[in-house]
Amino acid sequence: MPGWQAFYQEYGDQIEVVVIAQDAQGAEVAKPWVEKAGGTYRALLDQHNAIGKAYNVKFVPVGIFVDEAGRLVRAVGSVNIDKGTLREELVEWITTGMIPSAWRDADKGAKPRALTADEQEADAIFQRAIALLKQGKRKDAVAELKRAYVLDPRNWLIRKQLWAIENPGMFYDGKVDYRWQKEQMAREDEELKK
Amino acid sequence: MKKIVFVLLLLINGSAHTLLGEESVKTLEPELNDVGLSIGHAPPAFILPDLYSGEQVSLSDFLGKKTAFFMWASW
Repeated sequence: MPGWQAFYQEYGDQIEVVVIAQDAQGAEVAKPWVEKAGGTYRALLDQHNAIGKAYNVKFVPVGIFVDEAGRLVRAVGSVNIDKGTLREELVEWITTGMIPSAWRDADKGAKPRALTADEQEADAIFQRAIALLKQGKRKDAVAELKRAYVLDPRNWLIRKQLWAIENPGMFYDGKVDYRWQKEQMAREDEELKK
Repeated sequence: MKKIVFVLLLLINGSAHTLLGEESVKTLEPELNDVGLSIGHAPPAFILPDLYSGEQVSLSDFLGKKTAFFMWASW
């Protein structure tokens, strides 16, 4: 997202920008893409889906905006700063301190909710898969992730992570292959129906 | 009825100034346990390592500054 770097360069004295990398494979995999994006803002690593669980998030990119007192000024939502009105809204908030009406209108009063039994089970398997990855047992990790996504099929933090670990060529050799992803999703959805 | 409640509150709080003061404090400062995912709430806390230094970073480390957090991934 080149837009975030440009935004940070312009407003970095008024707002902190932090990217949280949702990468189960760890810093060695996360660093290259953050660097490729030219990000000089702060970068954190969430290897264990901590954010996903606490914020009930199942896909990226999403983000939150927090004020000086640690309060949310916008709920979890899009961070596409290159399109639409988000950049203008951020500038409005930074310069006036007022929460843009679009952010208020989009707020659904969401509260953190506990994971369902299936989500919990999927997460437990996901955590095991990460432990296996750290031991270099990639094949075993993939097998576990394949069990995990079936329990929580709309959790893209698990499902796409699996794709990337099992098929690194589709993600880490130059461009991300979105056509392959579409086909993979269709194949898996067909399997899930059975 | 409203008048009576107001007078009672004045008696309890001592002065209208205190009453207003407490009200404004309440709307400005989220209580420590006032965790939520909507505007005005404290988002769920987290501690995560810095991608480069490995140093543990907490959500509360960003208090005092407006902050935009965005979650992304290599995949």
